[in-house]
Amino acid sequence: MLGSRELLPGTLDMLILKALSLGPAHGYGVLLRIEATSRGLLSLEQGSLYPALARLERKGVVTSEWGRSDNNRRAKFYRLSVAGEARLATELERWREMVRAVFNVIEAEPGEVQGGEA
Amino acid sequence: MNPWAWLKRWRGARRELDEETAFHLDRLTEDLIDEGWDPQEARREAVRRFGSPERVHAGWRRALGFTLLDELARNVRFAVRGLIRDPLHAATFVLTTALTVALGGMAWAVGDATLWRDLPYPEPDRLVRISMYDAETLPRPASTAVDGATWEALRAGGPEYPTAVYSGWGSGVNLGADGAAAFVTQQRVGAGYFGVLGIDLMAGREFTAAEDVPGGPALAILSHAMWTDVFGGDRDVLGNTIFLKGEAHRVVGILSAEFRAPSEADVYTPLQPSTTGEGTGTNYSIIARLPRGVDPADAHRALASVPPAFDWAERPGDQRFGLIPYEEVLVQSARTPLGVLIGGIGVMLLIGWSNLAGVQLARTLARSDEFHTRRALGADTATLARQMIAETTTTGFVGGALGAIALVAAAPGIGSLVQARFGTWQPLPGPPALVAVAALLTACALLVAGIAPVLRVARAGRGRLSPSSRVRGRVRHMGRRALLVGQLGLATVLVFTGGVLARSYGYLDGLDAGFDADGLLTVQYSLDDARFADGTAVPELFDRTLAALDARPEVAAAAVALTLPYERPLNMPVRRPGRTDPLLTNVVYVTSGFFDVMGIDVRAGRALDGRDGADGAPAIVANQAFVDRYLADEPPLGSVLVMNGGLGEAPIVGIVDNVQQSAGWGGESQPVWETPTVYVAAAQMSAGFFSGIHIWFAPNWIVRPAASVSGLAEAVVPTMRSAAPDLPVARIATMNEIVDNAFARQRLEASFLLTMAAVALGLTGLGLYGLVAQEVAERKGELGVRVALGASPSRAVVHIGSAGMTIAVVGLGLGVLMSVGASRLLESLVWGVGTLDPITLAAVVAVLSALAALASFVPASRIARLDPARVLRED
Repeated sequence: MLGSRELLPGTLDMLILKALSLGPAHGYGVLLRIEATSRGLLSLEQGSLYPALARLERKGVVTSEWGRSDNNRRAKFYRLSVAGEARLATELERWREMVRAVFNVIEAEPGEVQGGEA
Repeated sequence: MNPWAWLKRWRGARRELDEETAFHLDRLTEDLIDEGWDPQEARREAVRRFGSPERVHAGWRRALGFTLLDELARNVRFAVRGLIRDPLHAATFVLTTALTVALGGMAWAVGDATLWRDLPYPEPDRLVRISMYDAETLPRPASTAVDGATWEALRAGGPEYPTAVYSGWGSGVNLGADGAAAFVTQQRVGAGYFGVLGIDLMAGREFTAAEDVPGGPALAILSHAMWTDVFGGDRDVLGNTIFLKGEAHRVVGILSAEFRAPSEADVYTPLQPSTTGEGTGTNYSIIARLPRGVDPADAHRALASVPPAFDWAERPGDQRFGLIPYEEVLVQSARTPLGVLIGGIGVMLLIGWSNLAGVQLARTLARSDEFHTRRALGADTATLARQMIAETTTTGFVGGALGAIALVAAAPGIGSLVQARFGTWQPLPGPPALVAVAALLTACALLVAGIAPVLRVARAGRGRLSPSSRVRGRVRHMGRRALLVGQLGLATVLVFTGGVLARSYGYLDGLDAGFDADGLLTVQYSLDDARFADGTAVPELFDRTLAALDARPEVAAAAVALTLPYERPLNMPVRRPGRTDPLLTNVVYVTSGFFDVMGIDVRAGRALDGRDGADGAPAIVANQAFVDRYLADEPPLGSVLVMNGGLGEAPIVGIVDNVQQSAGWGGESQPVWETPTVYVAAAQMSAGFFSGIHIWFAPNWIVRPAASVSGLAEAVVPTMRSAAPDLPVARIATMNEIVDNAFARQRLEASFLLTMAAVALGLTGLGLYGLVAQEVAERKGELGVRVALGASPSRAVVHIGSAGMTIAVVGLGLGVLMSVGASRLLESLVWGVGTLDPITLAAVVAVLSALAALASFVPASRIARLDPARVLRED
């Protein structure tokens, strides 16, 4: 299982945005979603969610309002803004490109290399 | 942004974060319980998974841009809480800061007003004083005055640039205007005096060279204060006539309000320097303004070729003109004593600062557990350092503000004290400058006090300070030990210097006055007045007023004397018949009964009495000092002296006891001494003598009260007023006040330095006490074990206490060495004791040793009361 310390910088923001794209949620809900959708492979330092949420809200990609949770307690619900949807799309695109690039590198066979000294 | 709105927004956001956190933890705990965790374990696990709340807060604040301001607010709150938790530390820190700020500000203000501020004239560095000096014996001119002939010689062969003369003394005179009588200060200045200083008059003009000649017109220039106070600021007074000393003077000028001069005068009249009368004495001071581009050294050399007046050329040595900067002349007399006082404050400042550093260091050490906890919770070095800085700043700010308030409040009083005691004349800086200096000094104190804790915290961050570092206690306190040694050394210097000055004051105060001052009242009137120029007017005034006084039941006896003991007397030469060598002596005219009123014992012959009237044979009474100095080889009674002033040849008819006088001749620098003096009967002196000396001296009526009379002044002043109308009182004082006043400056110097010394001792003692007490607290466990194993408690006390004593001995040794160095500065300030007075030195060593022993062994003695069993249990 990966801890949040091992996440690449900026990744946490993307994960939060992705979780919120599935629908509004409170902070704990975001956490549960990330843990569930990662099939238990990602476990965050949970407190770090809140600074990230505050940062995203300040950037305007996330909005928040106070509401009632399923057990009827007051909770702050976050929702993706329009700007957030666009941001998520670019972040995902960049992430996929990077994953592809890294994947290509680590899967490379000896014969594929053309440049360099060889 | 509005800070209140900001604070509100911040608080709201902060509350929301706390609520979110609580919600998160609750839900997580519930979920964990559902997974089968024990409820208590579940909560602990939830907190663990949530992570460091400190880091979450820090991240959240960074995200919201609240970081530094928010942290500052938090740190200040934290600091205030810390102050309340530890009031002793807070009080020490705040008061020490306030003390350093107030004292340091005071030293700066006094130094600025007296020692290093420019003179309040344009291009002050071009102003010089010109005088005669003997180039064979003196490396450079002194600030001496010249006689009339010398002034003429300078003008005849001297420089092209503007020069002017003034008389060094402002004197009290009677002013008559619109029927009212007032006593004002008059100064006589020559033509061009204000021009040389670079001063423009507010209205009118200054005296011209044509007017400034003997027998020239009687003119007056008014000070701004006198113009507004006496003449209501009416410009029409220009050209009008005022009566000074009973003579009509035409007002030709009014000075501006900004004008300042060393001797503050109300009215200026033309000096009209002459080569006769007062001009035969060195009564004129020459100032000059060098043109731009003229090097003072060149001008000085050029002056050397100006031929001196005839009688100077006749004198031995190489008499020549020379110059020194005017600035130097004006601060010369105040430099050493004020320098010593300001130096004392400087020493105090160093002690205060090192005490602040020690106090903060001790507090930081005592809090090392707290810092480790904070660190474990995720705070980084920068955060902790910022917190330490905020704490120091908050405390220091309170102290600095207190110090600034004290400084501004005390400044006027200090200003007038310094002016009265050291003869300085520029005002102290105003409140804005004082507050600015206070701020600067506060910053210094904060810097000094703040560095140690910050370094500590930074070091703790590198893991060098473990909570069990008490093993290294000895090494760890090295910094504080060094500070304390320095403090003790400096405190020793202060105590020693103050002690020597106090001993010197004690010597002066203990001098045999030679008369009975108790109960005597003195009233002074100026007779420098046209009404008293006539031959018999002065003796008649004395007779009339003394008869009126004698008639009062409150008055036992009364007399008049030209000058009083403990004050500056007239000096002039007398001769023996047929011999030319002058015998310089004080001369005091008195009315009959003077020696009785004063309680001065007649040793031989008789006192001056009714026989010595205008028609009687001339008579002189000499004091013992005169006899000792000049008549040691012959029977003094009946010896004949020749003196000017209308007396001619007169025999000595009586010898009286010496009294203390403040005479500046005879090679004595002591404030008062038993000066050779002759007394003459007022009735036998000439009108010319009176009008000459009454320019400089105002005679004193001395009244001895009938037994147990109070309110003597209320009886004397109206009696005098009805006997001599239109004669305003120049001064009214008891004889004891006059005696006190003679050494007021020495008393101020001694008491000020002793006060500084007491504060320094207090601070140093507290520092030492704190160090030993901390040592005891830290080593309680170890000492408990030792005692439990059979060590003697008293040896443990000695062991710990002697650590404090070692510091004291080293500091004291250092201080004695520094005192020896500093004692040289005292040479011109002490009398009757050596500058390295062994008694003072012994007392200083005794006092400091006692203090050190107290501060070391009182906290150390706590070890003897330790219960080993309890200490071990606690450990």
